[in-house]
Amino acid sequence: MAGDLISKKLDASGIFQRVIAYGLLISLSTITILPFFFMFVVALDGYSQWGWAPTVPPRLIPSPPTLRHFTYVINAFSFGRYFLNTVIVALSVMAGNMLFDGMAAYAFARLRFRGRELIFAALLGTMMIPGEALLIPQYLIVQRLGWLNSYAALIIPSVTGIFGIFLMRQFILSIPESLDEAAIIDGCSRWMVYWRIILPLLKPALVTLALIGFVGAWNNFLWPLVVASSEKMYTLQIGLAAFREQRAAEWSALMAGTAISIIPTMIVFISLQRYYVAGLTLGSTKG
Amino acid sequence: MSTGTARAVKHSPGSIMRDEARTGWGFILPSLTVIGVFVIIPLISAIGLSFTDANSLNFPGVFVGLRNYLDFFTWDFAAQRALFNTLLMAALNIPLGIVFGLTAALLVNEQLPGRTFFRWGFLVPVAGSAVAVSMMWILVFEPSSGGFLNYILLKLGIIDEPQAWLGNVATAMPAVIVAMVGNFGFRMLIYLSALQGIPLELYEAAKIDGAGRWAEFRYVTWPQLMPATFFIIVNNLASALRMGFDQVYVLTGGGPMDATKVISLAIYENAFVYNQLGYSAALSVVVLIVTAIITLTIGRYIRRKAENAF
Repeated sequence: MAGDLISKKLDASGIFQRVIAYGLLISLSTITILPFFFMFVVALDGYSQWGWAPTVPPRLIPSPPTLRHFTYVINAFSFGRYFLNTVIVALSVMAGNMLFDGMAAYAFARLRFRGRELIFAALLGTMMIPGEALLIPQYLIVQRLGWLNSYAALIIPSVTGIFGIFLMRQFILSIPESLDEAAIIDGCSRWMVYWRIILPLLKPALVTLALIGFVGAWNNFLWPLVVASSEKMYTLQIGLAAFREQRAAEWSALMAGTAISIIPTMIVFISLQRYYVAGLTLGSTKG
Repeated sequence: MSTGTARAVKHSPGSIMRDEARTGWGFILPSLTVIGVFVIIPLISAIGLSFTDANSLNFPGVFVGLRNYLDFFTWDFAAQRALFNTLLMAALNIPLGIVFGLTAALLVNEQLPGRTFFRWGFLVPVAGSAVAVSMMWILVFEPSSGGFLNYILLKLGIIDEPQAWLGNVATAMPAVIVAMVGNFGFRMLIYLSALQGIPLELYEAAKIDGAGRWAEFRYVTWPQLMPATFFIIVNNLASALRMGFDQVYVLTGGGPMDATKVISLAIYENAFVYNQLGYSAALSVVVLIVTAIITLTIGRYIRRKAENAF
């Protein structure tokens, strides 16, 4: 049974099983944990003026440890600006998703109007479309709107999405409709029903949605690469790729930039990960 | 409108329904506008553009019929290679991700000392952007003998001289795939939550029948995890053709000699480097068609199996 390894007395076969288990865990961690370990070593290494270098044997302990590569990429390469841009974009996308997806989902779940089913089905159909396939016309539209190199271009196409609408709709369908009806009899408008009664019940779903929106926007690469060509509008991902193209040999600075781009999402994701799974599996297995 | 009679009128059944319809449209309007402008219109214009020779100076270009599609099938070996590479990546990545995710979930689910460390450790790449994780892999694959991977393999005597893992036609693709499959933590989470849902009686019954650990896995755990496995496959199939852009852009730029080029990179390059908007749109439509074929054949087959499994 799962959870059995420790309850067994550590006889020969128990030890053998443990060796196998740890062997597998360590093998798997070479492609997950180890690269992160190397990143921190290199980002903190004060070996030479430029920090870490591929010496033989490779340096595995930052000596002397230093934070100067972090200040260097922030001061000399505007990683501070990229960070700010990324925060603005990710928070706006997150807020947009929470507001618009929930509203649309409420309409699709509860409000009766002509064409509702048709529109919903059509929107669901678009969920299969790979984003890359729409890249060129999306770019042309943003260009036509005069949004290139603006926050609008980075934010607005992502402020709502069919995945989030579908997810929220699943949650709303699980709330008894008698709640809505009682509130309407008490004289609430539909908006008030949604805002005062449904939304508070959606909190776990909203956390899921917020998490997916935030992390997705933070990590997005292809879209900002296309619409944010001016350095002022770079997000962290674009700034990082650009830095690497210019300064490939400055390993410590590159890894400091990498750490800056990765630590916030790591914290957010790891502290909220249970919502992530709950949301994704509910959103996709039911319905 | 706030007088008593107005209220009474408002509450007649017909007007309530009209009211509800108006509210409904109001509620979906923001989403409908954004999705319309950034998904529906682009979808239609991508198809339209794919029959033209449009570029940024000559827009929307001239109708050229199926020429772009013929170009792709007859001579654009780079783009054909890119489509093949993408499918290959998906074919390796999805099963590997399932094996790694399942193994990790089964191990982390055991009461082993240190399990929490590994659990968090496996999740770390899921949260990080593909760009940032790829930067770490550039470091690991550093081509000099002081690179982490080269140093270890030289020490172990597996290689005789340092390898340029990302610069060599034979090793570039495997290297990119290694950098991608580290992302199995999400699958681990799905399997972990599925494992918690397996009724304990099943294991007790298996034990009474004298099942060993392998038989237990084969006849209890694995069948019970089927819905999770199907969920992961279906989920990954839909995104199969968008796989790898970020990693390949950072790690190899699609090289050497197109060995790691993926179709999304070909679309990007044709549009924004070679300025062939019409042709690039045709590649996009090819992606749409292949995705539709995959989800309607393999995806549908798996969905049907999944329904039987539930």
